Amino acid sequence: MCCAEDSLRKYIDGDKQAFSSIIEQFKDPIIFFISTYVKDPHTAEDIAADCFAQLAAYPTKFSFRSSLKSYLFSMAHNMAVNYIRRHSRITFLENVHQMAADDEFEHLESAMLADERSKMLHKALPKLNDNYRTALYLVYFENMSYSEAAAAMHKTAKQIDNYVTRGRAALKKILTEEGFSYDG
Amino acid sequence: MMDNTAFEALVFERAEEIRRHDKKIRLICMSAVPAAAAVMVLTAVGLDLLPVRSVFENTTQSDSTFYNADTAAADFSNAAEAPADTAALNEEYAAGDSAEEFSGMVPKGDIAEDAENGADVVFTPYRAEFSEDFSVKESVTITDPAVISRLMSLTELPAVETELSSDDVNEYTIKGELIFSDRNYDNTITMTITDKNIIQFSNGRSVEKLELDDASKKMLTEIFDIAFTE
Repeated sequence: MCCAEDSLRKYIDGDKQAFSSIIEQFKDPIIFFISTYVKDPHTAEDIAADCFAQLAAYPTKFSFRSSLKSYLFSMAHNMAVNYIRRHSRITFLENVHQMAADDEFEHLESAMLADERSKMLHKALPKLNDNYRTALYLVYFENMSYSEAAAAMHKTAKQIDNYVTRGRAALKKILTEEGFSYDG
Repeated sequence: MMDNTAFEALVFERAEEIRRHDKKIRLICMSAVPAAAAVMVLTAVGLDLLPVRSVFENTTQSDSTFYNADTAAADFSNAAEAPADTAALNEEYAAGDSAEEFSGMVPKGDIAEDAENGADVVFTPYRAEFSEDFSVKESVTITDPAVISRLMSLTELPAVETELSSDDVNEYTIKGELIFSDRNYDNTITMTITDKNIIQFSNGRSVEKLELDDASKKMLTEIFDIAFTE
């Protein structure tokens, strides 16, 4: 698979099909990421569509100075937060189990989270504050480097380091309280 | 949930909607920044929300695009009556040019002279031609330099999109929130009225608070359509 940035360049040059590979590469991760903010998987999908639509409408807004992945996750994060602000300050999802009732989302969750440990960690993420949660998600679930996560969150790498460290501590406390054996 | 093909179709449909929407609601508001005072024009559109795109620009910028006082003062209710220069701008919009490309616009003619003389400068919003179902509700001029400087310094970007939500939580808590974000949603500024006198700006990295004077309160009341309770 060619890199996403190359696909976007082709799309900018008029190759509409090139956008398909961007969607193929990032659709599920973006939806899943947004689902840590909003309680409805269909809403997450809807916001993700808006996110990609922004990119499709104004692809040249991407400067190519960072990774497209960081850029998309940054948009996804901000759109999710904006959605929550717009909708009567909906509280962040308390329990991702609520979404498990949706069979399709469950399928997506299984595809995104390979093992039970990952699922447990993911379900605990919404209990963290926004910065901790986002930083941990990007670093551990999306395997972003600190600099990539920093680009996505508009923070410095040092801040990401702090968020990850503190987020891990907070996560450990949560999981310990829930009886989960945590060795990380 | 949709498969990739259906999702992609939705994405392109929405991308087209976004382009149309931007053309439709894009208002060019300009800010002249004389030495002593900054002026920003926000134009409220619609009944409940404020999809406003503003372009703040410094009067000293030299590589300007044309935008004249007559155009600014014109009534664009009928696009056919719009001045030629307006039509040219419309064409640029119709071609999908971004708001940022208009950031080079500076006031000229009478407006520029007024600005140089330190007068408050009001730029009537520019409206594109595809506006049959689109009406300008009101224009609000923000003249408080402190408010403007806070807005400008916090937004950092020349083009901002505002989105309004008001939320009467209780008497002295949040009364309204104005969210500025750039077109890619990667720089969001939240302006929160925290009580009757304090307005708070936050860009996620820093928070600034500003005590409002009566004029600012009046201005915000008009923008937010909210009441400052005593």
